[in-house]
Amino acid sequence: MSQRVNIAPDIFQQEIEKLKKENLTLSFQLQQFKALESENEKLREVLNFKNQKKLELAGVEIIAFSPSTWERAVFINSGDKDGLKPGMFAIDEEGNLFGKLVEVKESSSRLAIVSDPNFNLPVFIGDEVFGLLKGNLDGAKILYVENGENLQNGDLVWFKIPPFTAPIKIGTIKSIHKSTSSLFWKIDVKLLLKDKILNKIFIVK
Amino acid sequence: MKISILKAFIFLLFLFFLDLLKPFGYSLPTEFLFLGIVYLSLNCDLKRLLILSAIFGYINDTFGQAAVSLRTLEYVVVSLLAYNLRINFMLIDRKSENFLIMVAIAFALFFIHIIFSSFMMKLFLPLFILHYLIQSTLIYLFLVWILKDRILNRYNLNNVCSL
Repeated sequence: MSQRVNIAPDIFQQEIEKLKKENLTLSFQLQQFKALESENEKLREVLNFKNQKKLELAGVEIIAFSPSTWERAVFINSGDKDGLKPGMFAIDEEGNLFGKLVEVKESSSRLAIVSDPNFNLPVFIGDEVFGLLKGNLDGAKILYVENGENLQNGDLVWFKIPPFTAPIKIGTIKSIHKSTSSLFWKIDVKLLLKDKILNKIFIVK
Repeated sequence: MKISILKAFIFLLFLFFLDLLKPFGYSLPTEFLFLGIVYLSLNCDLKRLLILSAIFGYINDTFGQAAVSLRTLEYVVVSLLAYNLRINFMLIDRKSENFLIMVAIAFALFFIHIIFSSFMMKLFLPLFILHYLIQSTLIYLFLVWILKDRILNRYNLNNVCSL
């Protein structure tokens, strides 16, 4: 019993020291990142690049779902008075695309989820290919892809919200095929959005 | 009459809130309000049925994306169809208005709802439709059992319209 009492503080002491070291390393890394950021900004100024805006996010809560099963839409508790506008995009807690604002009222808004059949968005697949993403209740598909020869299952589907340069992830290719009579490739997308019921999402302003 | 229509209204309102809150998320594609409309179509008189169908179709439309009140139209048409089917079966043989026929009519109404919705959304998803049909039928049977065995029989009532 007495041995246990003696050992326990040692373990805690070691753990505290380990955490202190980690904390110190992380604070050094943070300083390094800040220095890199300022250096990056200076270089951008020298190269006459446009200043990259910082991603401004507004946390909102989902208050209800669209009653129809044939639509994928939610209602959120923010609206016009919070600076929201139709066409703004929403992301989940992990930074994946959740949907797009389609209707904004004074204190509430309607948001179409990526899998909604009326949701359309031009997207990139991999590095070179692009097409039009369209929701289909279970997931989404990409239309009008002409040059899909080099694509394969698991390739990332993403897009950019101008003026931010960081890519926003949407999903990965689930299946890809092309019939001989068709001009375009048929691509099914597995969304990264999780099936669980979300309460909080973020609107990109 | 006024009291019973109010209770049927509250019954549908409860189902509508279930649709809004979706306690099981999108893993359960059943539309509870439509189940309620089907249940009332097979148990209520036409006047009450049409009033409630129109009201809840309209409420559903206000929360939807469609510019035209298609759900109002659909619910009213479905109610009329269900009522006429019910009357028709009763005319052929009064004893034949049994449980199996009621379930068959309910299943037919789910199918009509699927065709209507698929056409409206320009979508044809066989797996989703199968999923929807199976879940809706099972939940409908559960709803009937809950209402009949647990609520109506306890208070010696015939149906939800006479609550």
